[in-house]
Amino acid sequence: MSIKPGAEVLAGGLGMEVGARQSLTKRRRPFEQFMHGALWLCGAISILTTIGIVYMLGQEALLFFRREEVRLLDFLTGWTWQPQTLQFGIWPLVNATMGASLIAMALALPLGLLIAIYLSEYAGSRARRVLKPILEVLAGIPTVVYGYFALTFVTPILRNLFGIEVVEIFNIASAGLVIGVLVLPTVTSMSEDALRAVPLALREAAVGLGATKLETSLRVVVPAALSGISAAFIVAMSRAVGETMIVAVAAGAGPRNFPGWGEALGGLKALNPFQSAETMTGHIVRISGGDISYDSLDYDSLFAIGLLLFLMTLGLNIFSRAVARRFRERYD
Amino acid sequence: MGVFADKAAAGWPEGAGEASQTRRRRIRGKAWRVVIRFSTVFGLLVLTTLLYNVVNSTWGYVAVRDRLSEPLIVLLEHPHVTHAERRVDALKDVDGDPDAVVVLASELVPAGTAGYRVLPVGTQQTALALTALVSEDNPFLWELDESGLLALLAPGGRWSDLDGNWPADTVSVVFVVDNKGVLSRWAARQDLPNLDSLGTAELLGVLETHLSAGLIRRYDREQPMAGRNRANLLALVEERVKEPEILATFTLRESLVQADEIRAFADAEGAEASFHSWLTPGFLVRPQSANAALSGIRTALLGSLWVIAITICFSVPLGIGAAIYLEEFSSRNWFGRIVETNINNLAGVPSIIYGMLGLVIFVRALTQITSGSLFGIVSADEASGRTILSAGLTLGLLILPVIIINGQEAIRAVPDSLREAAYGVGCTRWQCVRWHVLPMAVPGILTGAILAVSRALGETAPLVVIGAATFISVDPTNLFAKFTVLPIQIYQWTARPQAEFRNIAAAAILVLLALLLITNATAVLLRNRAEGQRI
Repeated sequence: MSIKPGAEVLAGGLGMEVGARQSLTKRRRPFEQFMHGALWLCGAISILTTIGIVYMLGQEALLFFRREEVRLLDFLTGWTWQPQTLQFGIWPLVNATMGASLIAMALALPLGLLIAIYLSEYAGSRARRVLKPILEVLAGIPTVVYGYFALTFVTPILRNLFGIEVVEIFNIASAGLVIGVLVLPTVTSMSEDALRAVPLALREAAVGLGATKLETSLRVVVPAALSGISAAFIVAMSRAVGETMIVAVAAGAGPRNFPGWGEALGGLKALNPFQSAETMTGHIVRISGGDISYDSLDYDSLFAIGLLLFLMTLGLNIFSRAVARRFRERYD
Repeated sequence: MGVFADKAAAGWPEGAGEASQTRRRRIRGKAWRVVIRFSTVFGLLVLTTLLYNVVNSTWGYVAVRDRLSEPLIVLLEHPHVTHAERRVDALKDVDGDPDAVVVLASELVPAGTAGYRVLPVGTQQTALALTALVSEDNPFLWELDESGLLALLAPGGRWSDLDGNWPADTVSVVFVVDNKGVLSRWAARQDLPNLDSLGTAELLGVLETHLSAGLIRRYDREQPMAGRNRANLLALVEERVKEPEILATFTLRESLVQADEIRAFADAEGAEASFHSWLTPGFLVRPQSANAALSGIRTALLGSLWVIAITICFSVPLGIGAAIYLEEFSSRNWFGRIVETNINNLAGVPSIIYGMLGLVIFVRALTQITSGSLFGIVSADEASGRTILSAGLTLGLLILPVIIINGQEAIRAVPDSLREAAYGVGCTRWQCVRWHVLPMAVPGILTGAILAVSRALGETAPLVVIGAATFISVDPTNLFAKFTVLPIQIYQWTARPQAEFRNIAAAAILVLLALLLITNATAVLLRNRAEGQRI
């Protein structure tokens, strides 16, 4: 806060002498300074955390790329991730991550927006009081429970729907759908905040011109809140990319490798959502959960994946804030 | 006005056209309202389905088949059965060797009669020559009653003693204990007594028959065998000799709708179907076990509490301190702005990255501290940083940004007039914060902190990465113990292929959700109290 301590006022009010006032303002206060320093340290810890993350990811990933078995170009363009044969192409993992995230967004995006529209435009205060806690509960359920849900509930349903030969026990689709449910509260609450921030005057004007409630919501309120809604989607996407336990439980335990781009994209085999595949996060958890020796190639490769993951989520988060700032409509 | 004139010129309908268009717009509005309402119900639906799914697996029928049925155990203890014959391990040798079974069976079947024949089995087979093979192919013994059987088992007994048509050869018995539990089923049909009929001495005898000498010595060291009471011995016999094996588990829905089919299935498989609750008080206090039916979450629950305690001690004071600093001391300067942006970015970092951070910093770089070797708890050579302390600190870093952001909001909600009044009477900054801002903001800060802690309680991925133990059955006793936590236990059980582990995973999920419900309810109560107090 910007208010300055009012020692002078106090001193003046009590009728103290000028000299005393001087000494009062300049008095050394060791405890005060100590507390200031201590609190500063608390704030600095967060900076240290960031430095720690960037440093350790960078350092270990550098160790990985420095090894002569590893070529950066193969890492960035390869379609085979097979540490046993020293093949480190990141695309099978990235492909699975993007697949699961896109399925998640395909569910969470329309549904989240519709729920947000309902909560902000249609629902009465009683419905809101009931619905918002439910969404909060959904947001508070541990992800490993969602993983269990994906494996024991969603996967059997998918296998019944599309056939047991088509849908494997571990598959991207079931993990993706459940991630969609997981990020639904994020999309909803952020979009709803954006919708509610649209001034009432806009709605009144639309209704005054004879628009129905739907037309007001879809053609006036939603476009006005578009920056906030897009930000919500991007944040949700970043959460979906970083989600771990659901894919670790339900998506499969082995990268879906291809010899090259042609084989992967020919017949769109790489995009089949009903086959098992391992995402970046899933791979990190599986490998580090087993017995892994430090300083091995496997161990270092995890940090290369981690660095990429960190950059992806950080990029999405920064992008979302930029979108929210850049495209915000101002009404005052 | 001009806009409307243009619209009209461009074909804005009038009269009947306008009415029909209005109707269409209204209908479209109503249709969409249904769609929107339905999407909202979806959230509710998912939550119910999720709970239903968990509850559905926590209770239900279980078909259990004993490796050795109680009657068989009693039968094998009969004085007429020689010690060598009692050793089921030895009998199992035939079972374990498919060739031996085939030889036995093929020599029986050509006999074509009731399924008895002279069979020289193995090298030790000398004078005792006749073997009765009990298997699906040879069910004739099933009709034998206890006295008939005991006559057969009596040393020196002859087949002709039972039936004049049978040869006058001495009886030797080989039980083929096949995987389908034929032997147990056969014994069950003989109307033999069950374990309840055995006294302490006989139970001891059973254990000595079936357990290896080494195992008996181990139990003896824990508590002298002779001094154990009957209930204890009975429990040992059930666990070690009877070895109930879960054949199939059924969901609650199946159990309610198809109880008859389940019982029929169990009968056909020689198993017993009973309604089972996987969530019992025993489940909470038993340690981990390789057997799902005997497994519990004691270690995981204690581990969770230890880890969370560390997390709270580490991150709550730090988080509140940082929130105070950002709101009250530095809101305008460059450092504050950097920290602010930084915290927002940190809150968006995936939890698994924090796990890698914890692995590098706490587990590897600070091994000496986190393993306790610096304090002489463990020796330096066996120091491992994969401890409760590392786990707690890692989760602490993970939830720190959340605590800071929530804390800032709570502090911001304290009205400025309070600060002005405090400064007006001559408070220093810290005095103002300590005596005026904090007391007002504490409920809000605590609410945020509790919500963050409940997130840490359910966090799995970072702890897998820093290296949770896969199997421990010893209670954690200090900060430097190996750890496992409830969500990790759930993950490991879910990942197992056996169905019964899914059931205990569901039970553990219910416990975890109950734990989270309690913490969240505390937060809500605090929030309500805080809102009641607000000026």
